[in-house]
Amino acid sequence: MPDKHIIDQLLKTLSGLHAEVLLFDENGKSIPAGFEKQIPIFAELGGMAVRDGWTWMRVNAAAVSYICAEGEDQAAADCVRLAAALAESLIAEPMANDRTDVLRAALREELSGPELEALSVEYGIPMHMDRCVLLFHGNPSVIRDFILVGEEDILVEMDRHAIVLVKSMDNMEGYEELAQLAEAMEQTIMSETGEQPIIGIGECRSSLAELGASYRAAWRALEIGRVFKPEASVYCFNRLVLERFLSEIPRELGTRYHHMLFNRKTQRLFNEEMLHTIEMFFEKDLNLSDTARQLYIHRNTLVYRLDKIQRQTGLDLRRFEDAISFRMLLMLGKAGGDRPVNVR
Amino acid sequence: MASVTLKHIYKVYAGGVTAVSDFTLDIEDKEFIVLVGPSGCGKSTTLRMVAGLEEISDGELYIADKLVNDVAPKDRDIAMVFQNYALYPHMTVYDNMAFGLKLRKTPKAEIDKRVHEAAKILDIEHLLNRKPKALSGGQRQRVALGRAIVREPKVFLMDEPLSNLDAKLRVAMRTEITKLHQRLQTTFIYVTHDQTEAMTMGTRIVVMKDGFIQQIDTPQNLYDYPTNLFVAGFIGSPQMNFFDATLVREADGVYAVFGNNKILVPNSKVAKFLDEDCIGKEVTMGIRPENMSDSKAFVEANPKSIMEVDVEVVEMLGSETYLYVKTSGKTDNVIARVDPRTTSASGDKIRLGLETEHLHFFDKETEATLLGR
Repeated sequence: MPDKHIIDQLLKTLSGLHAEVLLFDENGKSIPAGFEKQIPIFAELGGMAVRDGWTWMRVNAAAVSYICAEGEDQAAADCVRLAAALAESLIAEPMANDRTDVLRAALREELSGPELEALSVEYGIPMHMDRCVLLFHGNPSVIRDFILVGEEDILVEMDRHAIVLVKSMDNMEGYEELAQLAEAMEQTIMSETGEQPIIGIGECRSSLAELGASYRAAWRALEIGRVFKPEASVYCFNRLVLERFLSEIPRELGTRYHHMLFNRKTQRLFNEEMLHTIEMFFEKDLNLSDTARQLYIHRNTLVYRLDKIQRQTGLDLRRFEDAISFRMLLMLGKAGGDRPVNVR
Repeated sequence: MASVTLKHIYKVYAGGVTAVSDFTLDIEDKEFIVLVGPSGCGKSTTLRMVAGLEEISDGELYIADKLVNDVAPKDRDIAMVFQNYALYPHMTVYDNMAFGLKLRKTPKAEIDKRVHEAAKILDIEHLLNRKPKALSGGQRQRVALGRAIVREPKVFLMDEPLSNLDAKLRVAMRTEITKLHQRLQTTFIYVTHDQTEAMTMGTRIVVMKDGFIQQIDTPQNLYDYPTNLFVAGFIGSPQMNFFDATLVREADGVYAVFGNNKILVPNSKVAKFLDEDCIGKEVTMGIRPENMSDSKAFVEANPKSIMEVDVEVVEMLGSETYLYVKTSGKTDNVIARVDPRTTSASGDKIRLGLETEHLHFFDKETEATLLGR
């Protein structure tokens, strides 16, 4: 008996059609039960018949052996053919050919709890294990050979543009090490193939049933990361707390706050060189000497620039509170700007 | 043979943004070429095109006389060392260095030989069984270099490999990389935005700005004969001092006049002007901080090469002292490197002598040098 979920999905789709469409099993019982009709005699599979105002077709879709649609005209015949094709494609395909199919369905949250448990037993996938999803956005056929797959890991091709490594955290010393692993794989893929993968790292989860949440987090990390840090190529969901928060702020509100600081009056002040200086200052944890060294400018030059910002905006970026305010207002500009092309 | 030739290379992104324009360069076998310039000048993009990580929009790239525009990175016989070198955290140093060779199905014995040889060169043999978290920053950098060396490439490509190291370590590793080049006798293409790194490491330097090559030359020639204002200001630390001056011919010679200052340009320098039409016009005059002196003897010996200045800041660095001074005809500070035994102090009015044989002159509009070599 095929999965109830699939039958329900089929019935739901058919209920949206203009004509009434019914399904029957090989014993003539309706699916779901409750309808009574006399099944016509068919000469062959795929044959059609008209009886008592209904058009019938014989199909071979596991539990479904007959489909009928109300009417005796061409429209009813077309309806029955389409319904048959849909039933055959949905039901005939086995739920899972192998472990990767199970994982793919789990990542897409297409399985109910009992179904997942049953399949995990069938395919020997531990239900409870600390795992994390690493989502590689790139050409799977090019990059898959360079992704390190450990004994407890599973590699799942999701579609033409994404491949997922379901990584066991058993031999990993925390999230930080996972991020380092992702960066190392990214460099290997880049230098061996010329392909630049973008990697999203989801949250660590302890149950197979929660894998979908980790997958969603990995996608979210990619989407948000591309907005706020387009220069990077590895994005960790757990490290994007501020970015996630800011992306939830309504765009209009965010833009309004952004313009409080970044407007026509300050346009000349915040040129490319100044913004680069500020970004570096933040990167170096507000350390003047380190920042000046990294920028190859004199410390006095850096102080002069920060003084200039303070004079014109009132914000002293050497003070932590002012630096935080500035950074958030700056980031709101990215959040409120043009949305990036959807990574998916 | 591992020459690299770039012929009229362009990189144009979607939307029409041109990151690299008409880049032409012949790199000889075993040369240490440095691409240097400010952020966004196109140096990393150029390196990435050589590596095969960026598609070449137009032009031709040859490695060892073979056209490689459409050759995959792994087949170009190059090895790249990135700024953010990432080591596999769960692998030992040995395994990190061997990983690329394993991917290529190199025989185990060969892998072992190459890893040990590279580790010996880099002095990290004692670290082969350690994991990255047990290594210092400099040691990790060596492992990243080792990963490249074991591939025995024709060309090494290095994209700002020292930028993430602290200043002291950077200086030490600079020397190590130079020694590595001498030992391996392989072509190196090195990208940096640190002009000191460029000057100390390269056999030739390519200075870039806004996607264009400004000048290709040896370090000394870049220093002595900058082809334009940008190169003159970029090379040398502290930066060259620039003045808006007018060249005036008088009975006893040509003077550079700015504010109340009047500096006699030596005849040998005048003879080098590419076009004497610049005399009588406003030009940009440049002089390096190290070509200025506040010593009494020098000032008295060169009365026609003096600026009257007000000392604002004195920076004593031990082996040298910098004076930050103000002078008529210039709004910004002038920086002079003087003898550490100087008696000049903040608030003093002093006379500063210019070593006029080291003056530079640039066209006000085109910013090109007005002097021949």
